[in-house]
Amino acid sequence: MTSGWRIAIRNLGRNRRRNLSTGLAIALGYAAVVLLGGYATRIEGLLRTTSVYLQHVGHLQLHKPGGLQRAAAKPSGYAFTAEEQRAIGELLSADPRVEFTGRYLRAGGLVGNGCESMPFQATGVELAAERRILAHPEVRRWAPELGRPVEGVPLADAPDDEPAVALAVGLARSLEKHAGAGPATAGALDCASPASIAADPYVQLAALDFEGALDALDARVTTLYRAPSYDEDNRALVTDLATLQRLLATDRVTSVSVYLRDSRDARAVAQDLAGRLANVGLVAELHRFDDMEANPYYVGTLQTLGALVGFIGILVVAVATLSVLNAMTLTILERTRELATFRSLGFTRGQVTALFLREATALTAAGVLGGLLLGLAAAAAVNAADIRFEAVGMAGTIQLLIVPSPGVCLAAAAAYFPLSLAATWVAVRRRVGQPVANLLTAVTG
Amino acid sequence: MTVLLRIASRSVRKNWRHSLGAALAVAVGFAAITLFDGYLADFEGIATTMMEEQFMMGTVLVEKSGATAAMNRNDWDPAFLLGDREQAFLEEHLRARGSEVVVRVRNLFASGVASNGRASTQFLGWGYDPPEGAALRRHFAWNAWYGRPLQESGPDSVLLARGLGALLECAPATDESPFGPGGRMIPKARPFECRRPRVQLMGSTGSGQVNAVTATVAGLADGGRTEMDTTMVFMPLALAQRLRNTTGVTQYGVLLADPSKAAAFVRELSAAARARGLAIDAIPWQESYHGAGYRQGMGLLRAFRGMMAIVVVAIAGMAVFSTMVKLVSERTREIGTLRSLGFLRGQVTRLFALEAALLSAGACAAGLLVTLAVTALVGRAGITYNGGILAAPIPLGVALDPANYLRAALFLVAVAVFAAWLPARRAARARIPDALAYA
Repeated sequence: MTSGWRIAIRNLGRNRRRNLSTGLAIALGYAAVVLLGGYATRIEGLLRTTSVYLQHVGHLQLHKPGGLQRAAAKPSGYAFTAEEQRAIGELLSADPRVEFTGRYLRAGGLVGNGCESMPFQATGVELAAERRILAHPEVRRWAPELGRPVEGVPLADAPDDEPAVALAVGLARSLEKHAGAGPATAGALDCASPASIAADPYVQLAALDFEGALDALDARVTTLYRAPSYDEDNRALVTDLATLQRLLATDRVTSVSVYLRDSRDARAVAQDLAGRLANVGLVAELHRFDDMEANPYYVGTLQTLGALVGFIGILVVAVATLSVLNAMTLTILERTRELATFRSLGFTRGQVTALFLREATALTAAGVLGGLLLGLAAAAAVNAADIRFEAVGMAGTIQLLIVPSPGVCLAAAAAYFPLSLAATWVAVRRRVGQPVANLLTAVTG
Repeated sequence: MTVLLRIASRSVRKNWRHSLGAALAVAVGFAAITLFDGYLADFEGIATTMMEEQFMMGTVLVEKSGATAAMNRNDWDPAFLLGDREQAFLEEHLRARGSEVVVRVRNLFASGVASNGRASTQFLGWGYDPPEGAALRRHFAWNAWYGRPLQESGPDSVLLARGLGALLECAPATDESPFGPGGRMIPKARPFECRRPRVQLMGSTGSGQVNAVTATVAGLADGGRTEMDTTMVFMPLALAQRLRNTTGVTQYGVLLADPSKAAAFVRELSAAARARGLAIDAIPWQESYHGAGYRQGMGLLRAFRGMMAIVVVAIAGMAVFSTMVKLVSERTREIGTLRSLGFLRGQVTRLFALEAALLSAGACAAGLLVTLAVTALVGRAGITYNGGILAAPIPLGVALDPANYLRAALFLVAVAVFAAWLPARRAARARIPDALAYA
């Protein structure tokens, strides 16, 4: 350590109470930024994982042109043929950035419990892709609760001897159904008895098929799951792709979702894929997971959250920086004669300024380190407390988790140091520029 | 006190350079708190107006006992509809309070599948009395972005939310914006086209039978939440009742002339219903099924605001504390002089507290200028942002709130006084010879 740094650190000990107070201000501000950033990171991770994996948006989604907007009302008009599915599969399997893909068929219809019926929005999924999704590290890390069935077994593990269906909890509640009920009940259902309805393990799915005819089939309720969004929870069901294709009398699919090894590759993969699709003459529209049109809840929520966290973070750092300015102003006033002594001993203005900047650097470093420890401890305490809250637009409650992000911590530290040094420079500059004689005779505390 | 005030104000002027950093911290803290509170107040105002007027909740919602709990668990059992007896009671009760009630709107919700013969999709239907609905919507009486609102259309007309309109092949036939310069909708029939102008709505009746009605698309409107925008159908109450084959309604939205009397109105209505042996709940819409998103959103924003305020006040308080420690220490001999002149310990402590109060009050005044400037800038910028779950963008605004400015200033002044009182009390306790000899 050079003598300059040694003097700076020793000087910090000379006015312990003030430096402690300033260090605490820095630490408190930094801890607040760590916590806010940790909350935003958690929400981003949760929303990204639920939309990309659990709602099957994928990092990239391929639709027939117009399919993203209109396939829900007219699935047959916006579906990929079996040949197109093969061609897309071949293009994607050649790209090492692609981890896996999933084909999805989406359609609406009426689901009945034998006594009453209500609308559903179904997603037909490939069970192999579903298994990979539920076992995916991202799902286990960010949305373990949503990845687990609320009742019954995961759809991918259900017996394949008959059509199986997973109902969102809200829809199951309306239908008075539970997962894993026993064998089919003999005789007629007693519609006045919820127990009788619940004991029947089947629901009836009815929909207009791709030829325009009304088709129906019975499916066993093997799973109840919590849909991520509130509105989806009241009407969504998931079944395997083959079952939904049978109901709709088709081998086509609505979309192909692409799951990448690294979500940051989404833009590059989308560009490459668009070129390759054009080369083979395949007309499809591509949507990234961070595209407002394809994923409005994720993008809109992050925009709002980002603005809030950014606004609060800037204010907190600004107030903490002003606290450094305050402390350094007081310090320089107090040590005016010391400053003059340095100057009369031959120290240049730059050297004296550098001494104070070193002090500020050491103080900021100590504050940031303290703030980091404080933030991490507070995050651990919040996480251990298992606080649950209702997130806007989401069904049920989620645990309040703070996941401090190294990126946010580094960015906050990177913002703190220059601001703190600038505040010190502002405080020191005027005093250092004065003649030595004036400084030696200055009346200060 | 006048002497103390004079000394304190002179000291603040004399030592302004020492206190500049602390004053700036307080000023920024004041601006941060008041701007965030202003944003919250503005957002709350927008959300409240949207719910009370645009979505016809009124001041108070009246529904069958347990209906909100049932809707929260997605239970749309017809047993939770207000039947003929309850409606007759409510009509009589509301008529008798004509001076308190501006208007009442009956609502009935329905769901099912909407089809134009080429495409079909799920819908959530909202049946209401069109003329009363328009009266309750006030500024939003004309709610059709394209086409005409229900009060100006036939009895079998529906308004489709824009997303649902796109699914059923209805689209605007003009690039003209429905909104004027102030963000208000211009009441004018803007053209739109549907590939097929009639839609079939299928749903189940109270007894579980499938029923269908045919309606003409009168226009396209805002569905509120993003996900609702692809499902919402607004229809006359009579059409919804025909679809569900019922004379019941889900709830009454009641707009009161004086919202501050809502609690008394609720009490009276509940008591009258009980006296008639009717199971009816009257609740502010914020507590209803429809208020869930509002409660969650405001809860989150308030939590952010609380955390920010705690951190900002703590940091600004510490800055004031550091400054006052320094000032007190610098002026120990002055304290000794004041004491030897007969000033009491309490007066010396009050002197420094007064200095801190003046300093922070000045800083709050500076912060107020920043707040007013930013408020004006934001108001003029016309910025909108996407709220995540709302289909239409939200205008960014900061409300002017003098009462809040005063509260924030008083609080920050109190924090500063406390931060000054701690070192001042200690210094005032020193013996006079020690204080006079302090180097």
